[in-house]
Amino acid sequence: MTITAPTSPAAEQAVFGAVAASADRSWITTTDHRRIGQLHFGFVLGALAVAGALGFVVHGTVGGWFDQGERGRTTLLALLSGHEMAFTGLIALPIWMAAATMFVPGLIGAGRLAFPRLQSLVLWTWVVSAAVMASAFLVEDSPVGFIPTSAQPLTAQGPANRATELAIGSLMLAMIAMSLGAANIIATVVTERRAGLRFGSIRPFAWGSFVASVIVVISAPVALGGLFVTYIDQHWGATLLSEPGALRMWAHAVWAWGRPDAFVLPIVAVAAFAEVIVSRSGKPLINPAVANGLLGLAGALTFTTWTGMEYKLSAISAPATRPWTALVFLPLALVTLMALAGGRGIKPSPSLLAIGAPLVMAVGGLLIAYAATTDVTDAGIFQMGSANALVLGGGIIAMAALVAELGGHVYKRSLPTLLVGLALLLLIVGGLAHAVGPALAATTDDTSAAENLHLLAALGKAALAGGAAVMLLAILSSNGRPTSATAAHEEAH
Amino acid sequence: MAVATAPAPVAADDTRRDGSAMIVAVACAVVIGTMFMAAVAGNYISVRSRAGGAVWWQGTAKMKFNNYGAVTGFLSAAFASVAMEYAVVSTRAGIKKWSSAAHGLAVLTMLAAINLAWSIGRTLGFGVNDTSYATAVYTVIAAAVIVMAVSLVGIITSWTRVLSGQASDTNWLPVRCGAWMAHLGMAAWATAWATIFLYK
Repeated sequence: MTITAPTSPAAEQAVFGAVAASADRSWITTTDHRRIGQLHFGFVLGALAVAGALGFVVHGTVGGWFDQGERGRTTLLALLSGHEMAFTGLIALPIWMAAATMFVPGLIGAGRLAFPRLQSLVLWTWVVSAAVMASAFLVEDSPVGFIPTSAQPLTAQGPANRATELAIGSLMLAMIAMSLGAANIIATVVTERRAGLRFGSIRPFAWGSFVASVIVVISAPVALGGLFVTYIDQHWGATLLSEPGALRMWAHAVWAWGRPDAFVLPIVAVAAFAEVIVSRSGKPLINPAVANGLLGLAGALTFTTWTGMEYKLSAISAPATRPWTALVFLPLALVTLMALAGGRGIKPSPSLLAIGAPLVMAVGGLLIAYAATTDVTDAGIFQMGSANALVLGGGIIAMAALVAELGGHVYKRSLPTLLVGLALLLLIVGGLAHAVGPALAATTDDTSAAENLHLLAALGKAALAGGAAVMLLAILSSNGRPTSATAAHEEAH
Repeated sequence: MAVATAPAPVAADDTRRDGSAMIVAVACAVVIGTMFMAAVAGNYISVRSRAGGAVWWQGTAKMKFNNYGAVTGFLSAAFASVAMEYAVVSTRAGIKKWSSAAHGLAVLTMLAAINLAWSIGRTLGFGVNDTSYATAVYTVIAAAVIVMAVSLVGIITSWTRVLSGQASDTNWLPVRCGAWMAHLGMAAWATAWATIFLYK
């Protein structure tokens, strides 16, 4: 069998632009998956900028809030709640869904999603979710301490009030949207892929998205069920979440690090990194079937998070409580090595900053391993929470790099090299500072040094928000009329 | 072994669109509904098993578990499932009238099952916040009602396809999808019935 070379510009333009001519030009009613994906990206990058700004305020002023006593602490926790909820509900998985919406149909030779209007519904559900989440912080008594990344059940975090119910409702909407979007990706890969394209031969990002979708379809409804229980418990002032045994339900269903879908972003991040290398080099991975098998194995291993019976409230990182869950990263590391082996001798490009994804995830993994060998105290809410976020942050970097690599086919002309490179650098440097600052701050007794390290984290969050803004700018600046070259390609096809 | 990894250029109409995407999507919907019910039922079982199984009766002296109502609700939902299977057979045989009648029966019986579940939830004899066990009971019943309502939407959607002539003996997959949704609704109430009423 011969190797099909990945792609001349004209060939890829034909695949990615197969439905361009007939697509509805309206942004609202369009069925063109590329436009829907662009809207997804615009929404997610906007949410990332807002969440980054909230994180900047939290870390940059952490000492000041505590100086104001209980009121300051309450305000700090409300800001932290907004930051965490925006990240877990509106950024972490939606940024992958944006990339999958935009690129998966083209990568499997389909040129369309199985249900394009369903994907639009997913986007607008997220928009409503964001509005409900914002309203939770505008009503009286904002949700104090509803932090999905905290192992503390909700009743142990803050009081029941209308704002908390709104916050729970917004996350439920986000989970429903994620489930629907994942089902759409599964249906697209299973039924719309090019005739004769076997699962073992599907390109890395399309296959990684399929694996991630299967995980989401199985695990997100469990999170939805947990949030449903939480809502009823809060709304009727019940005591279910106050029971000692409630911790297991909370950890398996609501707590971000006790759920399989918490590991989705690292999987698609590695897949996106491999995709960038494949696209850049024009060669497939060493053994595509083995690489796809490893991604599938990583997906299967994520379900080991459900095998944990007891959870330590003080330990926030999943592998710290169940070491075998860390095995998820073994097949991902192998796929990364396979991609690196295929990347020798390729021409430099801003999209190659995708290497920042596995790099950042590796640093986060080391911090988590450190947590596993030490007794994490309550300060860990900043410490290891940031380390886990770093593992997820690799996903954001990878998705941005994927847009830089393949986005030229979607946005009709290549993204500006300078802006893309700047955005990726900001994301990588910001991601590292975001995690390393709090981790070091938790190890020092010097208050002044700790505040400076938190300031470093704040700057990291600002860099992440800035990176998102620059990436959005790069996308907007490329979404104009096609260049003469791409226009010629479209005309030819 | 060398394997092709990149899609060759294809025209837009070269992809398979035989309606199988809808079957895959409905299969995903069934998985989503099942896992949602599994989450709340698992929470219920966890609560019940706490404190050596003694938690479930605390503060619920007036509780009335209407097992007859629960059984009737299950039978109603099961009848809806059977009626939808009949609708599939009728559609494949090209008999639109029978298919439409079967859909109507399925809608009525699923509505009856939802009504029963609602009624049972209002006559349990204890409040949502009386005990953690009470909260878990209401959660399971409410979740089952939600899933059955979603399945009812699926059945009605299938019915509109039949009535509008979009489902026929050559294109019966939409009705098959509606039947799967009916089975999901039945399974949801079966879960609630089994966890709350059979093993209390």
